Formats: sequence, structure tokens, C-alpha cells
Amino acid sequence: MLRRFALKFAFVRRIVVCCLLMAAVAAANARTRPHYGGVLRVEIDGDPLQRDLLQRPSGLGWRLILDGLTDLDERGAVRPSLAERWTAESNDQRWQFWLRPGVVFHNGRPMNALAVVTSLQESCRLIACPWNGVRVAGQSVVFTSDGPMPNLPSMLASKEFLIRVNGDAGTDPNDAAAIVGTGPFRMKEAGRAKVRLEANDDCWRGRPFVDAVEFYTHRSIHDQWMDLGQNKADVVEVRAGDLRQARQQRLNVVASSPLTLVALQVNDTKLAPQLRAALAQAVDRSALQQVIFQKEGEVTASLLPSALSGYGFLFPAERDLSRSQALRGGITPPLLTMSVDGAGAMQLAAERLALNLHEAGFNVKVIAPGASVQAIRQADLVLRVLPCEGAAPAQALESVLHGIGENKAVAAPDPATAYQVEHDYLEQHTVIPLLYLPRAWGIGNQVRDLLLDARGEPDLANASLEEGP
Amino acid sequence: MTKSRARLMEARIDGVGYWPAKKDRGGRNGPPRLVTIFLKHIKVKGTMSAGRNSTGRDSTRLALRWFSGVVLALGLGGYAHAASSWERPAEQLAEQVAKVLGAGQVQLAVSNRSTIAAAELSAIRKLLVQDLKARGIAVSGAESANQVRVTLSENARERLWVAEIVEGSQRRVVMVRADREAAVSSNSETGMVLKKKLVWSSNETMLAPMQSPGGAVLAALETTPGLVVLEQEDVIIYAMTAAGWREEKRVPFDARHTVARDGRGVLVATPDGAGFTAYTAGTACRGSHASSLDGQGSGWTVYCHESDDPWPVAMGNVVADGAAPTAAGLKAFYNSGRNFFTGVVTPAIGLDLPPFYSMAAYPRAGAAQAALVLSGIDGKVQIAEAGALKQVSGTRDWGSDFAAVRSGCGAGEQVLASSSGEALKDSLRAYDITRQEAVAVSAPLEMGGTVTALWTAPDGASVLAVVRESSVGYEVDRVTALCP
Repeated sequence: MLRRFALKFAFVRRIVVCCLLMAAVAAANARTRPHYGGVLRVEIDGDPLQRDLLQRPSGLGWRLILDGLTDLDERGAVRPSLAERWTAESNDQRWQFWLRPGVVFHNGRPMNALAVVTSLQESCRLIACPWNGVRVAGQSVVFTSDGPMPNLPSMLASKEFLIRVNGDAGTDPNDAAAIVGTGPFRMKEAGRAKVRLEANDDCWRGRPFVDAVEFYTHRSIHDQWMDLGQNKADVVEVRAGDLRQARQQRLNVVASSPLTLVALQVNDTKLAPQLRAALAQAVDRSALQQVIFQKEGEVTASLLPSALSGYGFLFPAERDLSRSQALRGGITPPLLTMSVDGAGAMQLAAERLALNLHEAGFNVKVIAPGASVQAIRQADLVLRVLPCEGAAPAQALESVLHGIGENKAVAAPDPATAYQVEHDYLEQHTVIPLLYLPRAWGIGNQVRDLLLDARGEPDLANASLEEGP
Repeated sequence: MTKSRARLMEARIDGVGYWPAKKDRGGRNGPPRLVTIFLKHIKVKGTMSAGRNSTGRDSTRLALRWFSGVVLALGLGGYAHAASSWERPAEQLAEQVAKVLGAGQVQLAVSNRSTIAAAELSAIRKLLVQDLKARGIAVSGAESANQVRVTLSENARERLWVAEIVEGSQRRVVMVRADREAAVSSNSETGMVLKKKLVWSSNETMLAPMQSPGGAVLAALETTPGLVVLEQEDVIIYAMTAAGWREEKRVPFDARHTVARDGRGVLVATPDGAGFTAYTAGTACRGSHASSLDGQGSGWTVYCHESDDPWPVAMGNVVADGAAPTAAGLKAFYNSGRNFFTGVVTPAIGLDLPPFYSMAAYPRAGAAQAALVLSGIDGKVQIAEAGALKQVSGTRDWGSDFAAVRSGCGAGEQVLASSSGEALKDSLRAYDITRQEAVAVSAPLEMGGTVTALWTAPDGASVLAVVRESSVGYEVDRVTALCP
């Protein structure tokens, strides 16, 4: 009797389970086109409008508010943005960019050639620009230079040359709230802990899907991941060295290919070429990659990643301590200071490099975080994180050199020429490439279609949330 | 007899298409070097066998040999094809090495850092040795002080063959490009088979120098005089030439035109097939083509204007309000600020429809009027028929885009739906809708990118799909369903 009841119960249980499963399957809805609405919460360690050591814009928020004359597609190829088309003349020494009609800034003013020229001239006050002059020519902008600028369209896509207009009269142009552009989001609130950007309904590229993006700033990685787990954040940072841990914790991670160059920049005024060459032989790239960055990214002695150049193996990346010591030739180098562009794993990497160099007879002191900007900039060695932008080796090489502070035009129509340019530059040993690292982000369950752009940054304007309108 | 068989074999192998009929370095047409050598070998073997071809046993052996020869030749043909695709880069690299090194002896080392199969390395090495020898460079053993280290490498766009030439302490580098071969295939093991055919590709369109590729492609239409492509901000008309599609006319919309991030549009052919009407957010365009015998005055006239008119969404006899069905199809009002239809349709069908992304008319066997299948913005797929709106099950794998196709297979009409999986690699699949259930009747067809638009072609027997392969690369494919 009891057995019969148990069998009956088991049968009924199976039916109930099957019904529940069928109901779940029937209720499951298909993937749809992106929804409009919702607020995307992004947590970051820094500030969305921060600048790097050389005062170049580096935060995530710049591209959401501002547009450039050109942009890069997800493969790194140049595409039109505020400029519809362009032409080059006189051996790439004169470029003319025709502006897109009908575009307005967030404050309602029209985007015209005068506004573009004013913005670019403002950019050139902070950084060295590759052109000698930029002027208005009707609805177009003309750049002129003494030398050829073969990759100007690609260069104009970088954050340094995004087009902005100053806000209302009397506001401080350095005030974040005064940043006015033509991008998909407009600045709404710029506090110390939170920056809120709201959708620009009149964006010339179309309104973004989400209503707003809220950046919660200066959040530690630990707190960011906690918030993602508790559904309090939609997008968080995952550093290259933490990628393995993030996967172990089953975070939904989207990572780029290795496209950020970590390199040691050497101030050439203090060290002779031979000593600089000795430094290059003394660094242990494999240890950095294996230990500090937990086997993520790729070791490189080349300025370009192998996926882009195909010839990276021609630059040997192995450490050769005896050759380093031979190059030093018994000379006792002066005490060297090293500063770091970043914190966390980058600071650890600097300490490790100092140890490597000590083994080769160099005495290196790492500048502690929080030192003055002047001390950081004047260091003999700077551990830098450099963006590599562009689909072609020449464009990417030029962007890396530009990041180092060199306005060097790279004309390399084929890989052999690009190799030669890179080889000749690295022979000076003023930059020692170390690693190429991916950029990665943790994504919440409700975020849809979040792709990374050519720079490894999340394309927040094209992301949407599952919650419907 | 045997000689003629060998000739036949040669002809058959050639006919299989294992190598293109291209000219070799000597300027003659024919198969690659390795295959030519092998075929000569087969001919000699065949002649020897013919001399002993007197008994039935011998003839069986001969048939077996002949068969195994064909199998081997086909296999080697494939191998030789692989080798043939490397002839050009091997020759170019040898040429560059010879320029640096001059005649003499070298040690040659070949290593592979690319996705080239290891099995192909020996063939590539042979080609390099031959090409170096032809330029006076003999590959020797360790007795030579000069080294040539060839690395088969690649980057994201192309293959790169690099030679490091080491003469004593001096090292020089030369490199050549070796094009990456695209290999795309799709097949299905059972059931209905979907086939796609490329109609147009933005990458193959002839552009003027310094002209950037256009924006997002919303729809395309083949008309008698040419191909019409609707982009976010332009209507573009292409004419077919011997070299491919050539842009004939471009009509930009007004600058005030609303651009959507997930832009959509519809192109409808005029009854004579020589004109079109285009609908996109806030704008409508009409195009007509005039032709004259002498060519004077012939060409396209396109007129665009601001418009909030409803867009055609489902053609054929659809459920209409009241007794009279409409053959002209159904139109729906589009939300220009978003990416979906509001749910308001004209003529009214006696049902309140929810906001939806796509709609298709799906004829039912024995019914005078077609049912309407629609995908709501909530992800639910519903069918409207007999005055009721019911949810369709089995659509969990569907994306937002689908279109009906008249295949003649099974129920005669199927719905082709995009997949709901990874957005970067969509596929299409055919479904029968029986009552309220969608049943897959074909294997998925990989589309090679994201399907951003899908609609029934004017002939009704195929669907046209816009596929985005990257942010700048679009193609339009025609997909047809073939019966098993």
C-alpha cells in the first residue's frame, strides 16, 4: 500500500516537474531588438573625465559627451564622425575636412567650422599638435603642416582632439559641468562621488538606448565587484591582472584583445645610449606577465601587438642579464627615479622592474603613489600605459608614438616599412615595450549588446537594458 | 585505352575544380606543378598495366588500381591545391632573399607561427627551395655560413611570410604578404536546406577615392534598372557593371531627418518593378526610372519628404476588419523616436495589437485570409487569426526579425527567423507554424554577422537579409528554402 502510494507520488511529482519545465520554456521570451530606457550604472576606480600624466583625456566619459571629426570602428578603421568626408593634398601636408550639416551642441549652438577650429586650437594649448595651422574654409576645416601627416584622419579620432564648446559665459572651462559637446550624452551632474550623464535626444547619431549613465567614481575594485554581484552596478572594471580571478568568481566578463601597451619610457638626457640598451636587456617581461598580470596579455619587445603587425617575433623579448651587464661595461649609473602611470598592479610592476634593473647594476627608486605631478613627470623612468589605436600598423604606430609624446608621422604602406620604422625607433632605447594587456569589464545580467570599441572601452551609447520601455 | 583513361582522369580532376584555370609562371594554363608531375606518374603506371591486361583478374586489378589512382589523385589534388596557393608568396619571398643575398649557398629553416596546417609546411619548404634554386641560391646543410630563417606568420588581416637573412653578424629582414583565404560553408544534414546568395556588399562597391563607406544599411531592393539601397541618411541607386555595382545616384535626406541608433526602413517596389517607395523614420522617398530608346533623358528621379505615413509590413490577404480582406497588405505606424511599430495598423483588423518589431503574413492552408505573426517588444511572438491574438510557442530561439517565404515545401509557406543567440553571429532558420507552435524545419544557416533586417522579396519565394559584419561592412543576401 505504502509502496503504491510512493509510486503514485513519484509519478505525480514527475508530471508536476515536467509541467513546470514546459511552462518555463513557454514563458521564455525571445531575444529582441534593443530596448529603450533605464539607467546604466557604471562603477570605476577613477573619474570618467580624468586625464593622464600628460594631461590627455583618458576617462570613459569623454567620448560619451564629445565627438571627434573622425572615429574608429570596432576594428580600428577610420570612419566619418563630425566630418563627413575629407581630402588630402600636397603630399598629405594639407587636409580638408567637410563638416556634417545640421549637428548641434548640447546647448543648442550649431556645430560649425569656427567652433571646431576654436576647440582644436584649445586642444593644442595642452598638447603638441602635428599640424602648423588649422583654419575655417566655409563649412570645412583645413589643416596645414610643413611635413606630411599621412595618418591625420586616424589621429583626429583620439580623445585629445574631441570637439567641445565652452558652456555659458563665465563658467570655468576646466569645470566638468561646463563640458558641452555633440555626443550621445550630455552632462547633468558632476559630483565627487557620482557623475550623471543624460541621453541626448537630438544626437546626430541617434538617441542612445538608455536614458542615463551614472558613474560611481573612486570605487575600489573589491567594492565594484561586490556591487555587481548584488545587482547594484551594471558595468565594473576588471583589471588585466584580475581577469583570472574574475572568471573564477563567475563574473560575466567582456575582454578586448591585448591592445594596451605597457612600456618603460626612458628619459634620454641622463643615460647614455649604451646604458639605455642595457636597461632594455635587463627587464624580465615574462616575470611581469606571469606573476603580476597572472599570465594575461602577451609579452612584447615591439611597439605593436603581433595581431596587428605579424612581425613581433623579430624583436627578442627574452631577458639577457649578462648582455645587459656587458653593455653597462662597469659604468656605475646614477640613481634613477621611476614613476608609474596608474596604481595597483602597475605599482607592483614598477617595483618588480626596479628589482630587475638592480640585478643588472642599476639603482632605481620607485616614486610612491601620491607624489607631486612634477615629481612624476620629471622621473628618469616612467612606466606608462599607452593606447594603440588604428587598424593599420602605420596608424597604430603613430598613435603609440603620439602617446609617448612624439609627433612623428609614420608613412608605412606595407609591413616591411612599418617594421623598419619601428626597428629604427626602438634602437634608440628611449621606450622599452614590455607587455600588451587586454581591457576587461564585468557586465551585469540586465545589460544587453555591450560591445567594446577599438580601444577596449565599453560602447555605452549602444548598450541597452533588459527592462522595457 | 589506358592513355585515354589517364586523359579522362586528368580531365575529371580538372573538372572537379581543385585548382583554378590560371596561368602559371610559364604563361600556360593548367594545374599546379605538383599535380602535373603526379599525373605523369599515373600515366606511366597505367601504360605498364595495360601490357598485362589479358585476364579478368588483371582487369579487376586494373580497375582497382584505376580507382585507387583516382582517389589518390583527388587527395593529392587537394594537397597540391594547398601548395599552389602558396606558389606566389614563396616566389616573391625567394625573389627578395635573392636580392639581398645574391647567388650562393644557404641554410634554410622554416617555422610556422600562423594558422597554416603543419601538413602544408613541407610543401611550402619545397616551393621555397625550388624558387631559391631558380635564382642561384642552393639550400645546403650546416656547411654554409649564411642562414635564411623563414617564419610563416600572420596578423588579423593577412598572412605574412618573414625571412631573416643572417650573414655572419649581420641580420637583414624581408617580408611578403600571403593573402588569407576565406572559407565559408554552410550545410544542413536533414530537412529543408537554406541557401544564401550574395546580392550586394558594401566592401565590393566601387567608391571614389577618399570617399568613405556609407552608413548603416536599412533595406535593399532589386528593381529592373538597378539596385536600391536605403541607408540611414541616403537612398543610393547602383547600376550593375562588368566590374561590379557602381553608384549611379545618391539622394541624401534632409539634415533634419531623425537618425536612430537601431535604424530601420522599408523599400517597396512599384507594380512595374521599375520604381520604389522607401520609408524610414520621419522620411519617405519615391523613386522612378525613365528610359528612352536613344538614352537621352533616361535616369532616376528620386523625391524625399518628411513623412509619418504608416509603413507596409505584411503583404497579401490579411485579416481585415469586417468581411472584406485586403490584398494590398497591411500598414503599421512606426515610432520614429524608437525602433518599433506602435501597434496601430491600417486598415484596422479588429484587434488591439501590442507594440511590435516585426510582422509577417502567414497563409494558412484552406483559409481565405493569412494570419499575422508578430514579435512584440516584450520578446513574445504572437499570431493574430480568427479575431484572436495567441502566443506562439517554440519561438525561444527567435530574434526580433522574421519574414515569410513561399517555398512549396511541406506546408508550402514557412517563416524564416533570425536567431536569438549571440548577436555578432546570427543564423536564419525555417519554421512551420502549426496552430500555435513553431516547428523548426531546417538547420540554421550561418549568416556571418548580425542580421539587422529581414523581409520577403517581391517574388515571395525568397527573403532578403541585411547582414552587418562590422560597423562599416554590410551585405545583402538572398536566402531561399530548398525542399529535401
